[in-house]
Amino acid sequence: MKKALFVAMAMTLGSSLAAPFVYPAAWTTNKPGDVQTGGTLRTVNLQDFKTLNPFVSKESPNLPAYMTAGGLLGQDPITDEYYPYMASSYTQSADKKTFTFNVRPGMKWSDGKPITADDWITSYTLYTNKDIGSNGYDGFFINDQPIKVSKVDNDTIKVVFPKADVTALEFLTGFEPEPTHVFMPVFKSKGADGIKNMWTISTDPKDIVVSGSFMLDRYQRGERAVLKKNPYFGEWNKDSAGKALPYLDGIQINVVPDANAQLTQFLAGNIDVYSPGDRDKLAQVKAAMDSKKISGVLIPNASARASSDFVVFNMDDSNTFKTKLFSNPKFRQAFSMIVNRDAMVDLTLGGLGQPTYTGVYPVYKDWVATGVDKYKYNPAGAIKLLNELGFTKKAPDGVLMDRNGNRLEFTLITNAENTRRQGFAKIIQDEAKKIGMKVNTSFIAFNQMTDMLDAKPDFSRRGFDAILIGLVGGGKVFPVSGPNVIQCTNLPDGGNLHMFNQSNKCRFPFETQTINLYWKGRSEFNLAKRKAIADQIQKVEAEEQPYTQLAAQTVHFAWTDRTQGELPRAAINSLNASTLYGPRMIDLTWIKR
Amino acid sequence: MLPYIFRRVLYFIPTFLLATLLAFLIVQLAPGDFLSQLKENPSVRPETVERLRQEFGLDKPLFVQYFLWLKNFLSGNLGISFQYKRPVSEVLVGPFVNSMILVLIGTALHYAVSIPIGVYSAVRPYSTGDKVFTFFSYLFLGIPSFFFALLVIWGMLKLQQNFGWDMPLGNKTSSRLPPDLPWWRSAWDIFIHALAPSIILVLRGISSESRFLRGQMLEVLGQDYVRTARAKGVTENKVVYKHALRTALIPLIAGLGGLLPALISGAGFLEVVFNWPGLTPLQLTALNNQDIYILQAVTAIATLLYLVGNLVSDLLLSVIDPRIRYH
Repeated sequence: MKKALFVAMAMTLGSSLAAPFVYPAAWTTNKPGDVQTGGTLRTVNLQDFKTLNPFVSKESPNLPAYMTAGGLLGQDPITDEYYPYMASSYTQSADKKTFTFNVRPGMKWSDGKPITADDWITSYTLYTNKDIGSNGYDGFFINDQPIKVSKVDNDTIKVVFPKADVTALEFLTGFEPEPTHVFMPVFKSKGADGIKNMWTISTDPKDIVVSGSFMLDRYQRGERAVLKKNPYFGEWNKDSAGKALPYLDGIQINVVPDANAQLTQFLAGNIDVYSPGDRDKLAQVKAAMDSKKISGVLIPNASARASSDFVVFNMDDSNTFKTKLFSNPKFRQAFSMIVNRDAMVDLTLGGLGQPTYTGVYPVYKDWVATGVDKYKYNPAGAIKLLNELGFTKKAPDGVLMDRNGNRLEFTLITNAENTRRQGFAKIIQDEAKKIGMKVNTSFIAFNQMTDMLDAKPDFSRRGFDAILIGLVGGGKVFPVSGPNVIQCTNLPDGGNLHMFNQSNKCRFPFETQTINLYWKGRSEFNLAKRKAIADQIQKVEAEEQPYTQLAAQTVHFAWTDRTQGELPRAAINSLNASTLYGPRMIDLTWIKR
Repeated sequence: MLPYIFRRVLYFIPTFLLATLLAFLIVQLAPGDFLSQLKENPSVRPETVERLRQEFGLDKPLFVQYFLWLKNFLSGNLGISFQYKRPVSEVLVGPFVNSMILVLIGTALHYAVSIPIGVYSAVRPYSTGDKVFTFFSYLFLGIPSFFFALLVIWGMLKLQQNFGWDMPLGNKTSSRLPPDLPWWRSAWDIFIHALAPSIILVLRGISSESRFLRGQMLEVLGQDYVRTARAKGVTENKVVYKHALRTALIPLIAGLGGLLPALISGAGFLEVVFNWPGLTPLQLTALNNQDIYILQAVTAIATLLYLVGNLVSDLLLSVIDPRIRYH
């Protein structure tokens, strides 16, 4: 109710001149009266930043993303609802394809120039330029059909989607303006190459113009980025008491490429926020806090990560004994029943994780369907299914065989760089052995593994049995999957991550069923109905087991007492946390002195 | 002498070509390329990856890529870093200078400490002091430097936690200092941060070099001409420092040639452990990302410096040691 009131208020205010955006009080645990302004937040990044140019940035996290205010819409970290942000208000057409945005008046770039509708047109023009080759390029397409953006007048932008799509709102949160007065003169005179050569990591910070709360003060390569407050941001961003944001004077992002060195920096009190990556680091932070060497807050197991690990079998139409076996759902169900997910959590993740049974990352807990663990760990059940498949005899070495003498043996590949996945593979190997299934493990380079998965249409290169891999990323609106994963035809344009079947044919009825459900969900604007569709997809996948889900790691957050202004505990999860600042909105973060 | 130098320089060509070709092949033999990691991201379309591959020239045959690189290298262009989208030469400068800081401080320490210890131990063999130095020499020779570095960092962390002392715990500069410092204060900060890795960097070197020098000195001090000098009444200081040390230093000078490649290869894993932004962390990131032109440039420059360094040390030897003449 409070939220609805706020959204209504924000939209009404939008029509008045220079209406600032007001951050709801619910986004921080502190009362506005408690806040102290000034100070620098010291944080840490695992790698050197490579560029300041938003169009060429390929890494994550990257500095341009941390210096941008946001998009036309924002998403509430507490309720997940969308609200107008850089747009003061918007309308949506009856067919849900056309959005018209009124640009919030009074917004300014860090050089004091106004942010106008033209800046979104610049952003659209440059992001959709193939020669610039930005990572943002693909976002302007929905299933290969382009999104169109046009300027209605100086304060109004129209965005037309090729079809009604629930992910439109999500896209609009990331549709950020870029300064026309900086980029367009270069684009007009030097074209795409001119844009690509702008704003390198060596560019004078004075020349970098941003919309966000912080701008670059200096960058010392390999050492740190120092950001300072953008004085114009506070003119149109206020806290719930009307105070200009951000509270901090600056942010120091120290580049510390080694995970152990990061821990040392936190234990020494040289940085303020930290995310322990494993059990050992978590234990050290806890010990330091228990013994009062650091005073601060530690939230272990805050939530699962937004990623998944799974096993996928090669189900291509190559008609070999193995691909035929892998294509049989009974085999995959039996396989799922030998996956000891609890052991994976205990032994490999050191208890810091949770078993998974669906492709929806467990961090989206509202979206995980019930009853998807039908084929959970059950070796007796697995043996029964394998017997039904004809594996009734045992070879002298204990491996099950069918009546033609085919052995129940295959190789499970995962990448050599990832010890977690290797740990999972070893547990699968051990459990499989107990029931007479021989799983050979092979650990190879990640790139080699993706090359195997990718190979098409030359199946000789797709010569793998099973691969243990994972996926990362995805949005909050319909977090079941993505077209790349779900499409089985029109390769390579869609379905390049349809890992189990790259034959460019939908070989199994469940594939078509899933695709139809997926696109139905993408056009379903009613949240409850969309969740029901997501449940159906998960039930199909739980029954057919195209991907056998394993276990998810959890994330942990730590910060010193200096650091204040985190999100309320209920909203602290991996989706609402920044890689650099942890579970907080940076503009509402403050330093206690 | 000149024909000798000319001949040596001619030998550089095949060595250089072979080394760089080998490096190129090894990097390229690893499956995938700089863009492979994009494939795990469901929101990047395959056609985008393909377009980038063409843009980076990664779709060309291996040897075409190598010869393009070679052609550019010979004209002074080290290529473009995929990650930074900047010329490799520009990307290399900072880490190169940072590595130089460690190596130069280390080298200065190396000679400043190992020569006096070597001389002391040779002049007073089997004395208590000599035995103490021998003990530490074996200790430092035995402990891998990265492990020793971890112990030092742990010790410094405990000091900081228990006594509140601001220790230079890795990095090149302190995160606690304000940004606008006078130059001398920044330089001091860098020096303080460089000290621990520099010392650890040269501990092994000091240990082996002082032992080596001790042996050389003992040998020289036992020779006839030293006995003759002493018999003629030359002072002990002159015998030790003018006659014996000069001769004993010859092999050390031969080793100076190795300094040039050491400068480019940097302080290795110590830079990683101490989070020092030198060449090794840059190379490791480049290796992980298959940023081939950074790796190629470092290999090529290291090869060249190695060749030049060897030539320089050979020439130095001929200057110092009258018995050596090149034709």
